[in-house]
Amino acid sequence: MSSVCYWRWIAAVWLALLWIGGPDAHAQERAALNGYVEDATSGETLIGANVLVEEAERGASTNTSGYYTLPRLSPGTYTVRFSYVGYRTQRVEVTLEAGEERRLDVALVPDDVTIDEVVVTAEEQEAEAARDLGISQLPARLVRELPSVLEPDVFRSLQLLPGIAQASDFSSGLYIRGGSPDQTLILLDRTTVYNPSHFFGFFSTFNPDAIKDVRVYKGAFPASYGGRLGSVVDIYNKDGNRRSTRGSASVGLLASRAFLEGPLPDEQGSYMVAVRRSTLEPLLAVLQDADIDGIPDSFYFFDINAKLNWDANQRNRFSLSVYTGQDNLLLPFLDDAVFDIVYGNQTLSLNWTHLFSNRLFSNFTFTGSRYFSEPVAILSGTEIEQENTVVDVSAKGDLEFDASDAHRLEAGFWTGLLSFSIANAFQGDETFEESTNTAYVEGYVQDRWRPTDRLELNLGLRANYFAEGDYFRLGPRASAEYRLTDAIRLQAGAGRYHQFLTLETNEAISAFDQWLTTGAGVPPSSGNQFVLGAKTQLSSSLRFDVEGYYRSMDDLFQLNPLLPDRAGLDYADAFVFGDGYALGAEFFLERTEGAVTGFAAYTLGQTRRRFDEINDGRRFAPRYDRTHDLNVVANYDLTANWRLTGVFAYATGQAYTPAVGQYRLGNDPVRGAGTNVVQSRFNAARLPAYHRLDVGLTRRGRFFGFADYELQFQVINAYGRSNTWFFFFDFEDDGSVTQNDIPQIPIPLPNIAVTLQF
Amino acid sequence: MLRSLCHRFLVLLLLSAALLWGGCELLEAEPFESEIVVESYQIEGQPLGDVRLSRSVDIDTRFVFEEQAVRGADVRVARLDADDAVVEEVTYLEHSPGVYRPAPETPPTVEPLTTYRLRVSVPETGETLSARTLVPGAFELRSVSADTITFRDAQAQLTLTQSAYPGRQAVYLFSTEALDVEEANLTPFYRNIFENNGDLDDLRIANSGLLNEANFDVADDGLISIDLPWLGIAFYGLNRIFVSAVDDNYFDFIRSQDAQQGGPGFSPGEIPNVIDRVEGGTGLFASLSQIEADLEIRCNDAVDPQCPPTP
Repeated sequence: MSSVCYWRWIAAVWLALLWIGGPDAHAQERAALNGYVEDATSGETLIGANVLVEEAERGASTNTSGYYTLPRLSPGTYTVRFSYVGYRTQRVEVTLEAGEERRLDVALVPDDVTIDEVVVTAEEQEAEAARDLGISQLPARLVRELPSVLEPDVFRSLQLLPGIAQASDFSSGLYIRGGSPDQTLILLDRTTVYNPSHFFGFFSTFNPDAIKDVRVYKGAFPASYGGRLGSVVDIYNKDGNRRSTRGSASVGLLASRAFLEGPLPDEQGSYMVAVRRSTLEPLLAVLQDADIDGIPDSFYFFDINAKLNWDANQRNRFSLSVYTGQDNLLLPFLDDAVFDIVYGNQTLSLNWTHLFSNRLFSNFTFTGSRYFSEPVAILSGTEIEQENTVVDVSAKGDLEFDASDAHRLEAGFWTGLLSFSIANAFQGDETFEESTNTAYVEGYVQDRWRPTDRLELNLGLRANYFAEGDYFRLGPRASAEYRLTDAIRLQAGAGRYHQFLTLETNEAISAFDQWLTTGAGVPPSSGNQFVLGAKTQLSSSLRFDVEGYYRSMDDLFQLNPLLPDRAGLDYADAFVFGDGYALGAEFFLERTEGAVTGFAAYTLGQTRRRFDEINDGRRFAPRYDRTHDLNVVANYDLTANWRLTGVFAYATGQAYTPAVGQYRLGNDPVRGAGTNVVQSRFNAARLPAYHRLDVGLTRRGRFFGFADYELQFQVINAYGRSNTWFFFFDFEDDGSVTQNDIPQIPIPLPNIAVTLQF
Repeated sequence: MLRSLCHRFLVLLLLSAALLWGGCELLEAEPFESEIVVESYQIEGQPLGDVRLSRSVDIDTRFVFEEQAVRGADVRVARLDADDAVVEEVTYLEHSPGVYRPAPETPPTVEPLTTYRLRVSVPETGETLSARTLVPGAFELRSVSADTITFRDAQAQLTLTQSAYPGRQAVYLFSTEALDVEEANLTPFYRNIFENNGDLDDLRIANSGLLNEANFDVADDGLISIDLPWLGIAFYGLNRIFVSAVDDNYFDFIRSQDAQQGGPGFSPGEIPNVIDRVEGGTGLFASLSQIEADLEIRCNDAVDPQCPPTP
């Protein structure tokens, strides 16, 4: 079938969905229930909340807009149960007439709130949607509570989940199931974020105050997502409080944050603004006064998240979400040299949620995303500049249609224009310039089919067209879940994935990240994923999940790391091509109630890569390969006001390159001084095992009667483990070679933070 | 029944993982094996260069050339024609331990765009080594804007013809060799480096990275002009500027050796091996075309308060 035929087919599906979304021929006999599930205190929509019609044993989860649909119910009286992790379960009794389509919006009460207006029951609260195959969900509250290096961080918290590894103490990059960071699609309010880092990668750009929901699709993700080989991190900002105006302010060692949310006039919507800025200036001033070398003249970062929601009517909701963040560093070093680095991200998404009918839900988004990096180095009066920009402007639409009791059809598109440019200048003269402007079009269809009460299948197909290189690819996806008992779900999934971009990054510093695309002679990467899993509820408060996965990665492309200069080369000549695989098993045990709560996550994994020009074309373990990776998070409420938190991490030492031999050349007529050569075995040895304990103590209470306060004392690396980051080899004048151990955070690092909520 | 099914499923899952695990190759560090190391540079227009032979040592052993020198080797360099036939072969004699020089009193001159082949055999061990190089095309220095310049004032500009290399664009490397190497003559940036590492000789030659010819604008007359960057000046006084066009061997060896020091394409701790083009050993048998110009650099009181006293 030609690509044109595929597009016609996808268009036909779209039109068919819109058409069948009209009046239901059977609506005379059947009833339907739908609506939004919200937080009772703030009106914030809840993503992935569970809705169960108990008598009919029919259930649904709210989508990313917090909306659910339960079509084709027989007329009658039902008890509908609404539940969500961290909220009290609520039961609502409804009587549905034949042909009735009832809009039932429900507000759930958070566990830690006492109000009398709703009937609540304390019972098992299983996060159904969050336990679908390959998915992990991270409560924003947990991000703020975990001990953190200087500042709470979303990505560093994600690194505690099974299957997600960290590169080092200094990197917030996500290495998911053996994939490099570029293999993870990162979305903020449906908009791609291209460099989600502050502080040169030390932590991520996402302000935990602004975040409502973080969901990670670690593998075998459905057809509704695409464009990456490995995984998806889907982050949603808070809508803002629809009930009352609230705010908070936090002061930490690295940064301070302020947050404000509230309803629009006439409660027609809400707004949210979250601002964060580093507050290192006093520390820098002290260090500068002490005449310590290497202290920047100036260093700061900031980010602003804002969102405006307008609930136009029961069928239409609009939101505008913006993000801007930037890092600035002015660092003089030696005499007569300075680094001036500016980089940042900006995103915008304008979202329209529309109900064509109670069975046809739609969401349309216009997105814009920009990443820029403008490092300048002036060395001995010689200026070296780089300008690196990514601009992505797109439109996307998603439709969800309840076709029958057994079928829920979904379809969508995502199309946009992507622009990458990079320019280098030396002494003011441009020495290299490359820009890519390309269109992309993606479309998908999928059917959530429930042939029996216990079995659910999700069958989908995603089509991608990438104009640069004229590449068209299809990615079939399939997953199945069999509910063996009420407490045991068996899951399997598989899919084919394609990626048209690659990222040049470095785990040590992310300020110079550079995205590149497919092109002439550079085909897209592709890969297959296979996942098996079992989710069990051992008791009302204890769950145990296990998943095994295998991933292949073909046609991987990356800039040739041995290439000193790309000027004048054909596009494909700048790349090396390779492949890889990853496999592993993940185990997750979580306790949600009791004196001690928390989770233990263990991953047994292996990942390998192969590139023609690296390691003589033989397979090697990348740095982020981990055989064993264990994280234990525990919370203990000492009293009603004091909470103790601990995080322990253990991982197999990272792969590194041992130096086995050496020689020296001493006669180079061009470069003069001796040329020292290491004979090495690429990544063929392991650093000592990594382990670290972080502890935190939180005190909560009222602050002079006008605000709630939270005071956090934390110690990172509590027992002072000096984990090796890498070895560096020094060639000594006497002909010997010294191996130097470069540590990660080598000492206990205290942190203190104060938050006021009003 | 259901519980049993569940247990079977979990066991199957774990077994699958274990099987996949066991089925994959394990990485092993191959043990160190010492190799013959060759070092030789053939510069266009100059007599055939020396050949230095030594042995690599394991990482815990000191490398001292004299101690690792390969003695008593049979060394020959041949000039080949387009069909790889030997046009002229030169035998080498051991001049000092591990250093071999052409036997003829007047060795042949290295010709541009010509292939040379090195063959080494070591009778004592039976080892043989071979390598070949294609010499880059010759190029000329047409002019230098000044023979004396003041630091951080007007830059010196070099105007050159272009080199050539079959199958690819020319690749250049710029270097500045200081001829008045004294601590007092250091420019501010390098003075600070010296204060940190204390070795003047390390700073005697400053060089650029490898640069493709596409970096430079070519004038209508086919000439390229290059402004000498201030970063290339480590010492005041007399400096000799070299522009070198490099062969494939030098290009591959240096770019991979640079990557051993770290770079954007590798994570910290990842060290690639150098790319050598030596059969039966390692090292560098390279060729270059080169031009040079002398340039006097005067200190500038306005940018350097520590100017050396004027002689």
